[in-house]
Amino acid sequence: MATVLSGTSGALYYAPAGTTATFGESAVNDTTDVITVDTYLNFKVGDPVKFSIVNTETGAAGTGTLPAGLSAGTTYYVIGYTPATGALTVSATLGGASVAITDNGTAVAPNAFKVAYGAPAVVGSVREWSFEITRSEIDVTVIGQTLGQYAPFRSYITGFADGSGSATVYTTDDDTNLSNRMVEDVLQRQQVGATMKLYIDRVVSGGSVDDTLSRSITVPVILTSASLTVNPDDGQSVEIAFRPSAAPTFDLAKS
Amino acid sequence: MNYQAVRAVFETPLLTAYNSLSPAVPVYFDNVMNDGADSAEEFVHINIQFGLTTELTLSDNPDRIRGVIVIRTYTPKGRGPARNQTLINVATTALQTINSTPKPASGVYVRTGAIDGPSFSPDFGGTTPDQQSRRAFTPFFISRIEAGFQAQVIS
Repeated sequence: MATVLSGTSGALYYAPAGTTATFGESAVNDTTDVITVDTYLNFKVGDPVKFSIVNTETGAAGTGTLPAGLSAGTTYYVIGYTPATGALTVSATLGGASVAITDNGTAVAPNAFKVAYGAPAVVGSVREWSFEITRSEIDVTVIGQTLGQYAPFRSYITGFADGSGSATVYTTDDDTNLSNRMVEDVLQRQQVGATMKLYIDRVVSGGSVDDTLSRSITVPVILTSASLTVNPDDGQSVEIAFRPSAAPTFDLAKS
Repeated sequence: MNYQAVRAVFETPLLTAYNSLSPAVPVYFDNVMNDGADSAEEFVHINIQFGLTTELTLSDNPDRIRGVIVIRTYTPKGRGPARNQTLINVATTALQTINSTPKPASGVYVRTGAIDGPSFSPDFGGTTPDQQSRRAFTPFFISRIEAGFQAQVIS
């Protein structure tokens, strides 16, 4: 007998906006251990980030060698980012000393180094989320059909897919809660990197989320609005609206 | 969750206010024995209930305390409503004072909703035969106010 999933099986994970950047060899200073990325991004102290090499023409994995001291797939933590200059420093541990970078690495165009927020992290105090996907309809009815007893039917084919969603989160006194950052991110000019992971069924195994058994929709997003509600009767809440900035990835099976 | 601290925010100023009357008026809270003399002509009963403690979310259940406070004042029946109104006004004033207290950086922050009442009656209310029979024997004129409240325990 099947079991209906409860809404309490769901969860919302989020990677903040403005937390993805590419940079070249010349952006790496192996004397000061500073990496210069785009200005006015949104890296915050303590953000977990990972480095990789990408092909900037295809977006797929690229070829090259990361600057010595940085390893692909390893989680580092931001210890400083200056929006006006794009100066980024990272540590191997949360709040630790900066990683010692000993060379500039190799990334020949169109390859480039990439730094991105580690993985979407759980957003606390989420009351609900919703996500709607739609298809446009194209009328392909052929006129001039032979008339008979009944009215001719129109014919349609489907067109582009689209989507929109929203999440309602309670405002809490926890400053580290990603829901607070989500609100700020609505006004972040460069929202690259913003990603929602919408868990329909989050399964935890051995103390961590088992993404094989879980069901989720991962979608890169743009954040389009934040609506704050404050009244004396209810808990304070914020409704965030978002739309996909690229195709979502659906993982709706537990295998 | 610190229910006692939340209760104290209400009970302490109410107790102080009634004790400062001349003569002082006994106040009975929940689960406190009525140890006054049988001839006590007036007293106050205060009942606090916590209806909800948390808010349900997808990830955790953050604290958000909600409850209701009910205050009843008892004065002798058949002597007009003035004394009873005076006593219930003490409670109303105390609740409004609580509502005007600024939110602290730490501790307990409480706000009541609209105060319902006061309603005056010579009985405990109710329509059952038992309640109606008690009405005839109750020697008190009773007023009642009720207010929902929300509390935050700030650490």
